[in-house]
Amino acid sequence: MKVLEKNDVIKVALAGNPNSGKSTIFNALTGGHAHVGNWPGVTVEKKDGEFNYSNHTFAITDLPGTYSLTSYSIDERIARDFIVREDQDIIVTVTDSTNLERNLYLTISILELGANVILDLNMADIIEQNKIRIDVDKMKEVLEIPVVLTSGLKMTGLSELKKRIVEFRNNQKRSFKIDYGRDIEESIKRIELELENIKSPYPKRFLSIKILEGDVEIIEELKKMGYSNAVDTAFREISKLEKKFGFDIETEIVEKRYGLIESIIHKCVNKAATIEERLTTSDKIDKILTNKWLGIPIFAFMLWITFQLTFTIGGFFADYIDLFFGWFAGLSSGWLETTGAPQWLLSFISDGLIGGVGSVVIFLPNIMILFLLLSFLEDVGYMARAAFVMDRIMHAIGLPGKSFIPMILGFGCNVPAIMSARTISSERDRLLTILINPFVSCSARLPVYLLFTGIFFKRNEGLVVFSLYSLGILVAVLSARLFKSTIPKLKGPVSPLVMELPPYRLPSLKGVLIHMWERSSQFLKKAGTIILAGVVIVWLLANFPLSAGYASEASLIGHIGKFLAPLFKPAGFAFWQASVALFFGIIAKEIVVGTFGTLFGGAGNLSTALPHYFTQLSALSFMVMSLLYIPCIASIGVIYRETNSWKWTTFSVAYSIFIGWLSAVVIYQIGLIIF
Amino acid sequence: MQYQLTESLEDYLLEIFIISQEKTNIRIKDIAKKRHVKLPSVVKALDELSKKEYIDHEKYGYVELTDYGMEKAKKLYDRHKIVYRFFYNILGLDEYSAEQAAHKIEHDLDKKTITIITKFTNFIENFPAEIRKNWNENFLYFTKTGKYKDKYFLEGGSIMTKAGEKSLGELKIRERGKIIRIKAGIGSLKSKLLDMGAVPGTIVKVDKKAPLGDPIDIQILGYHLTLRKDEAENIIIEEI
Repeated sequence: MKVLEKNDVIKVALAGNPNSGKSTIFNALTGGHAHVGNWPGVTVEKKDGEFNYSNHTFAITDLPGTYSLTSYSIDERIARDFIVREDQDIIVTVTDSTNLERNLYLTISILELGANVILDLNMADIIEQNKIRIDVDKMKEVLEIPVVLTSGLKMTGLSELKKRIVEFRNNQKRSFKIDYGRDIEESIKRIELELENIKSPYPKRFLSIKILEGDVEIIEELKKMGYSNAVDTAFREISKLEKKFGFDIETEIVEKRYGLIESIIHKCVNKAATIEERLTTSDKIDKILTNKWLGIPIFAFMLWITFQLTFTIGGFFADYIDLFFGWFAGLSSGWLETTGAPQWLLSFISDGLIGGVGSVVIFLPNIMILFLLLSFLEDVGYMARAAFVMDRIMHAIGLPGKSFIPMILGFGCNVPAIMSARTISSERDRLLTILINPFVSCSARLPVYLLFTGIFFKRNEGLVVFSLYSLGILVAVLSARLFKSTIPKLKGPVSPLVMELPPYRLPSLKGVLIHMWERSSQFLKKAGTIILAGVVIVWLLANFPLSAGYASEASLIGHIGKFLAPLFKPAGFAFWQASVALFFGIIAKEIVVGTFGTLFGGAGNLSTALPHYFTQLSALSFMVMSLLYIPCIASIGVIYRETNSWKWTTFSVAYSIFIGWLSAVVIYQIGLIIF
Repeated sequence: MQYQLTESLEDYLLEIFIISQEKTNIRIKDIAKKRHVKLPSVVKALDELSKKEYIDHEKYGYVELTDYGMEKAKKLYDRHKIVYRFFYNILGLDEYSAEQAAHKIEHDLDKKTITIITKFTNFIENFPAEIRKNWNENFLYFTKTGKYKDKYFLEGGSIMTKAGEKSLGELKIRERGKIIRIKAGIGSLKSKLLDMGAVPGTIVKVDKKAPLGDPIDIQILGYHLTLRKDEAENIIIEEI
């Protein structure tokens, strides 16, 4: 093997519009081996990969899919910052060749940043089908950058792309200039003069243009750096120019860029696909999928299928995983017994560790199937339609259309539901969607309802369970309203929709599988560790001191139960067993039932034992508490994973406990007055 | 040297300044003609001004402003001009009435009032030309009819649509339009729309509406873009 020299590592970043096939190119280049993480400080996904080609190692970063480089969305800021600050050798801009009119805009913007760019005209197979010819040589000549035709799906053009990267990696970064017309050019020059000697990774010209465009972030940064003069000059120039033109400069600048693109396409493309040609099949599908009468039923059906497959097939595997871990725990404790290990160690290994790992792995079938389906729906282009169809309804409660999916999935399990919020592009909307999700009653809470309604509400079991589900939704909606009007980070109107409806495209199975695995493995890594830690802690609390029985009154958890019990006096269940059961419920809600079984001498005795402790009313308030407080450790783990913030995780936990307690108390107290 | 000038002297000084802008040699009779007064009154006023060193004036010769007088006159002129602009540009009075009104009230306004009129006038005049024109048209219409000329005026504040223009939100399915502009004052939404290709001159077609009527789906630059109706309201188009 040849020893690689340090300078043989070529740093490449992939930029491109959403749906331009960027991920496919990334997967094709790296063979699907990516390191998935977060961009520092935010929850936007970051993918890094590596590959070798002709004695060179490539370190490749997949930038978030964006349409431009303004500072208005977090994705665009990340892309912009990365391109100028991280000193990439080459930026490959992946474009959808069937829609260069819009796709080239990002390429032009990146060129204006002064980056070393290779233009990748992707989806070459589709333009061939549509008989569009792009004159690649001409395009090279016009843009003065290397241009490569690829098809990520058919895996063509990739070695040429790699070759060009190697060839052009040391290219001088060129200043690409768009002629914005005499008046604007003069203004740019005047602003540039004010920026003399500035120490910024951005080119002076780029900064000047951005102030003229009114880019808030650049303006603030320049002011902080002491270049207020430049900003003032720019503002003067803007009002001067606007008076002259009669309309605003931002529009004029963007228009000039699009004008340039139009002329490039005119020179290099023999025939642009008309929208009719390009979209016929796609439009026909849309005639049905977003139809006035069928759109919502079809969406409901898709959701129902997703729900069914996730929880039936997932549940099927989950049962076996449960059995396996049970068997494995038994086996290991049996084996440990023969070695003469102490009883507590036996229990720690079998109940704590093996049980803990089990409670992580048990979610995996659900999550993998869910993400297989969601990835497919997303890659095929349906997710955008789902948001299109549902936007009106969700808008009414202050959320975008895309948060409907997490809400519904929450009825199955909040863990995958919270993870599915990832398809929401606005960080604020995503956070809000995540924070209200725990109130949607997941399937694990059903055993608790069934136990109590079976004993206390024999006549109207259905009605009570239905009311509980409805209460969950009500609390979620009201919380959304509350958060939106009180928490600064969540305030403000719903973020604008303005979203592309991409043409339907059949994704490759490999692509969908990679997409699914990236998300599932993240669950294992981040959420998994938290879940495991939580289970171990609860085990310790239930078993110590060793002299006390498991989860008995004398155990640590019993003490905690006794300590907490008085808090629930106004809710009508101020005995320690209830608090202990709620505490155990944090591992998973259904454990509440098992805990009562343990504490009251077996599951069979519950129907006679529970009425000694609960009245009908306090049973109701207990169910309300069970519905609303923290869903489970896994949900905490996944909230942390998705918000990337302990602050929001803690907030979610504290808020849900408080709301649960408050609702239980209110219901109990009102009940006392009425009955 | 600082002297308080009487109203009448201020007017003389201003008149001399205005005439000096048009011709180099100012005679007494030029001033008398402009002010519609007899020569002796002019001479008397000029003596006063000359005593206060605002002008150089030889008897029966040319009148010339001193540097000091020039400065003072300019100030008076600016004040006159702004009051005139207020009546003419903002309130839409005709030239003659605006001039008369300016003459009448400029001396009587205290500094604070002049300042605020100046600021208000600049405020309105600094609107982009198109918006100002619309503003004026609507105001003129309002003074005559008590009504607003077009219904967008109130919706968009002063940023509105001219007659013959529509917002994208008003188009029905399959109707097409050419983008004229994006409304101002909508923050980052404007940048987003522009970046997505909604620049003036681009042709858009409303392709479909969501099952509940909102959002809508438009074809633009060869792709489908969905946006809410109230977002589409900000895109001003002309129907084609």
